[in-house]
Amino acid sequence: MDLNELNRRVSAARSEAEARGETFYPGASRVHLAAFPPKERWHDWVELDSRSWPQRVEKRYTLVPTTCFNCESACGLLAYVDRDTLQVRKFEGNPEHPGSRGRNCAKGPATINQITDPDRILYPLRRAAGRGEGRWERVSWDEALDDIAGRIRKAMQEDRHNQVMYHVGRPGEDGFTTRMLAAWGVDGHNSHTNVCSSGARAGYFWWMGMDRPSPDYANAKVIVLVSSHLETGHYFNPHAQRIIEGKKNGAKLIVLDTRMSNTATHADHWLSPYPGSEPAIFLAVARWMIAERRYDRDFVHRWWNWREYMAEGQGRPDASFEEFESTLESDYADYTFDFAAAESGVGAEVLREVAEAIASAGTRLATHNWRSAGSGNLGGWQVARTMLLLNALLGAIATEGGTFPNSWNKFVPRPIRLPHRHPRKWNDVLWPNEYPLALMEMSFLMPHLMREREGPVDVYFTRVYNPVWTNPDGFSWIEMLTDESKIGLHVAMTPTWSETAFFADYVLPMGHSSERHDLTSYEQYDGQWIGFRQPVLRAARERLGETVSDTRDVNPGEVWEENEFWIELTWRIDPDGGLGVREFFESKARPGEKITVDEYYGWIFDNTVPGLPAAAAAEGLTPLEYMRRYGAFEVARKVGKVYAQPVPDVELEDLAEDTAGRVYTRAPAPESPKAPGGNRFDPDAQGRRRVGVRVDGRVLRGFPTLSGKLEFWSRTLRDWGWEELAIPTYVRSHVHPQHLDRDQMPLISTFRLPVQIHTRSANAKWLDEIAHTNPLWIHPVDARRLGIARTGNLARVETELGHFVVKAWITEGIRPGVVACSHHMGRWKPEGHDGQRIGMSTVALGRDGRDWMLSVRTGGGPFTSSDPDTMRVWWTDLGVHQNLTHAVHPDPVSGMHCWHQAVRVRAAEAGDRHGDVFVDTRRSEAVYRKWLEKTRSAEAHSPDGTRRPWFMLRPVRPEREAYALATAPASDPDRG
Amino acid sequence: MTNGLREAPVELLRALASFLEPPSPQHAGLARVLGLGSPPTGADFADTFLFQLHPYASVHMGADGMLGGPVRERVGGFWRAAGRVPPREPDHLGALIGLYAGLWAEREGLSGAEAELVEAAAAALLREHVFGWAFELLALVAEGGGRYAGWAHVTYEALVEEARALGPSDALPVHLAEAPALPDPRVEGGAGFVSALLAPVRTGTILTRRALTRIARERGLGLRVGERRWVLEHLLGQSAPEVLGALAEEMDRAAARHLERASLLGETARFGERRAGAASELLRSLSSEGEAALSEIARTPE
Ligand code: SF4
Repeated sequence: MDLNELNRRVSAARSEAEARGETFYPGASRVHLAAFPPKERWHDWVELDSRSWPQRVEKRYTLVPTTCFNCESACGLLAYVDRDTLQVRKFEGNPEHPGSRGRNCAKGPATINQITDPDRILYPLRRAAGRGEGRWERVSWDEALDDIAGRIRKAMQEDRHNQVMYHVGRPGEDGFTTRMLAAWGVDGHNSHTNVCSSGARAGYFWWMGMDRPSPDYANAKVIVLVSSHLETGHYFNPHAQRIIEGKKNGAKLIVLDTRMSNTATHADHWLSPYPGSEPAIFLAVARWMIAERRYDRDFVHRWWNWREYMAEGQGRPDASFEEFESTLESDYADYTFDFAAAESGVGAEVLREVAEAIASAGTRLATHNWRSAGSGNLGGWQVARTMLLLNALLGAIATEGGTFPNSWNKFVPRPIRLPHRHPRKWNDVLWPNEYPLALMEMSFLMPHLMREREGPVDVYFTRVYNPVWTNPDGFSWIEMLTDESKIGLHVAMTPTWSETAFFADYVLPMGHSSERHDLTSYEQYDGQWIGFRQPVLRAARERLGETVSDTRDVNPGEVWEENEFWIELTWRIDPDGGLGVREFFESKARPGEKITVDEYYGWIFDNTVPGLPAAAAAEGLTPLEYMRRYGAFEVARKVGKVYAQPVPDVELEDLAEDTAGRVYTRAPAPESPKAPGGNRFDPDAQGRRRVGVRVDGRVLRGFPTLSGKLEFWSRTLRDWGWEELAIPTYVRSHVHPQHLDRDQMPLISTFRLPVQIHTRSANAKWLDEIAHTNPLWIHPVDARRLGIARTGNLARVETELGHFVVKAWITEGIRPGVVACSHHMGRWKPEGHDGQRIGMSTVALGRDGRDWMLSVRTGGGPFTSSDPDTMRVWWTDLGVHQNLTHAVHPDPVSGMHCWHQAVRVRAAEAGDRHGDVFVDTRRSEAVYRKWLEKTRSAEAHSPDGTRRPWFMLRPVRPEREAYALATAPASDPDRG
Repeated sequence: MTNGLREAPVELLRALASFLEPPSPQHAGLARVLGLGSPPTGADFADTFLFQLHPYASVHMGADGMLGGPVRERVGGFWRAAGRVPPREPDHLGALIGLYAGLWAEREGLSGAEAELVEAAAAALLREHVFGWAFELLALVAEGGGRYAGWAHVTYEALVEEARALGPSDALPVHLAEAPALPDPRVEGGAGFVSALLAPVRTGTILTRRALTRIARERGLGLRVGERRWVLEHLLGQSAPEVLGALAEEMDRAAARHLERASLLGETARFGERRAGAASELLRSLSSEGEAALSEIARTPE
């Protein structure tokens, strides 16, 4: 072999190729060492059958990607479809998914338990006795569809659109359902957000105009978490892997959690603050940074709305930046480390050390609050707001290693036939005037609001949502759901039995993650991706040459997917198109016919996902085929600082600029591939649209806030009656020691069990085996004081509404003086009802007027079924349903339910049994009224006669006229 | 220490390094120029470099046979010392050969002490971070047949040529000097023994999936599907004496290969030969133990 000759030949070939302007060597590519089947072999993947061992029996699979439906992370899954039986044998991670990168948490692979659950609901059911009595009959889909569609059609014909409501938990999809509700003209989108994340969202929203954070953990120097993101949190697997990556690269991890969570155990600094004191800590850090000039003055000068604050908040329109800095210093002068230490119980020296670490991060500070303290406390929205203050001081917003707003790291493509309609009427059960600034619908107040409002909800869909179990005050929900004058028809769309489905009129079986289509995109790093959920057996059969046009044909029993269900329902609501609804569900390719799911997604992939058609063409595929084959596509990477992008010249035409530096243009907005949404801003007086802000002489994109800048001071909060909260501040929680009796202590209930996911996972046997109960965390000092001798002893926990009985877990992993109990577990079914056997106890429900009792009859243990594993269920303790005893605590600004409870704990009394619950719903009504007094309603405070600021987010935005208050507001003479 | 008059075949080395990247359209042209026949496909790439032989220094020279760790860190340090930002996978064979070619390309415009310095760096790169493992890996790729065999053969020869130009060395690369040997489970306990068998630096060879499959087939043993440790544990669980004997034969073959390279590489090859020889001896001695003692090894959880 003549190596010199070979070298010469390669050199010559290179010169020739480069002379032709071609690339000679393949570009640098990722060189993976992965434990995944390479994608080239997905279609025909051979593994030896583990059950046949030690025989070598080869099994052939076709691997079909889909998206996990168990939490909002939307991680990629690969379904291993047996080519002989066409059944799914297992789920593993999809290495082609940019967010999850082939990894899953335990809940992803456990999808196989959910689809093979012997107790799952396989056919549409209609109640055959009184609501909640537990007697059901099987009906055809046609019967159910006609009945439901008929009622909705009638409501629309009678202009009762607002009596149709769709109540969703984690949506797990982007755009399909909100598009549908807009097409229906229904202001009935009801989400669980105000029992979940509105606290954190509000904190982010009032700064950036965008309500979710997207921290770039992997590149951070310091990571601060007010959450338990390594084992649970939102987007947790995609985030957890990047937090660990950041740590491996040397990042410091600071965790604020009153409990020693798994996340806390990985921290460099674990702070265990008294619940609700977190903003005091962040403000102390901020005060120190300000006093020591450890912040980015240039960034603050350029990007904060400090001028507006000085002019309108301080009445000093001519103030200089230096004067603002002095004001800032005096605004926070009281937040010393000693003050924060007194509030939080964390030593001042520790806080100083943490402050030093945070200040040293520069623009590589990644911070995150989700649920946790943000969802636990009155004023909890100040947790995220004061935390983001630290990023805003350091300029660590949308920087490498900093915190991004969600919208820049998420891509929701524009769908086919975008509805141009908006609901004409305001739904004041969801958006009551008492809470004009609530981030999302006041869903958890529904039983109380329905008691006060006239008229029913005529058709109420609960979609994979379980308010009876998930929301506080579940017995009030049962009272509402069983009152047919309040709820006309309750349709529970669910893959599995739930406490709410027991009180439905129809139970419609819906698919799990491998049995449905959806499109997802979530902010998980500085990039944008879309993930495609698909019925994997349908895709597998299509690969083998079959045509499947109805997902029911491949799903178990008559399980359906939502997309096809909604298309069919809409056509039955408006069979002749006379209501103007059907047109949005008609095919473009075949006018007059129903749109198919293939056309719906095929159109999106062809038209509004940049880069996808080219990537597909490079593999000889259509974009839809590409997504069916790989399940995900990365639309953009390294998006960076969108706010600092110059607005291109083509968008700058006949400009006008206001005193705040906001720039308006006559140039039309360029067509965007993204679905419209988010905040809305009025044009200027001459009709120009807002295009950016002027900073240092240049027109830059800015932030989607009223000012176009980061809003340190909020004009909206001031104008709507909350002047004292117009800058980031500290609100003492409802469980602050000042507000507790001597024998009360705070109960933290906002945390998950790592392998469980609210109500979705009770039917996963693997997960239940790992975690099936929710004991009360109690410190040894407290346990001794209260006479609870040993772990496992029963404790009685008294709340405002009643009490529950729970096993104690005596641990130093919780702060003395505080108790904690995960809201997971405690699932139940009433005696005499069918339901989940593996994850639900059977309970006796007793009622005496408005006194309610729940006591566990049996729970867990082995049982016979089609799955032999159910004979191996060894656990019998399925926990306690504590949320039943929680009263509603709506934060008057964010609308978030403030979950923490002030409780009295004592050793159980004779006769108390584990899992017992007692509640008086009269007391719940009283607590609702007490919290109502904290509100500042639109009627009393709206500055412009509307119910809600027009610019603020709404998932399905009604027409402008619907914003007008029915009665004129009391005017404030000081505001003119 | 270097032959200042010599030129390394920079383009050839770059071309060979590029084959360690997943196949792309450019590889067809490169394969033609190099006379390698049909270019490899994605499936060939996956089978060779993702399933059988992982082309990373850390896998072959690290004490645990795993990616990353001190070996990768040291290699990263070398990149920095050579004035480069280490790539994400600094110890990948493609990256290392590419760096070597890059150093020679850099040397082209230099003379005198500067040129010597770069040549010295290039030599250190091969001796410290490549020679200790790449020959054995390439030999096994070639032995496996398939579309990468021709490439492995040319790359092997190209590295032989570079080694010849440098001459044998009596010094041992730091990675090897620090690497622990295969522990005797009778002395140190069974925990970690199976993992150690899979660390090439301890046994002088690479136990590929292909080798394990062959061992199972030839002896009629059940082969579980999974990572190699899992597979090996279950093979040992079925017939430890037979499997240990078969593994010893693998090590004997490896020892012979190392010996062949002794005059070319010096101490590095002799180290490999000693490790493979010692491992073979230990396994043979273990295989003569009673089944009961051996099943203990196979069952010791890790
Ligand atoms: S984090 Fe777990 S439950 Fe959530 S989507 Fe990913 S795999 Fe599913």
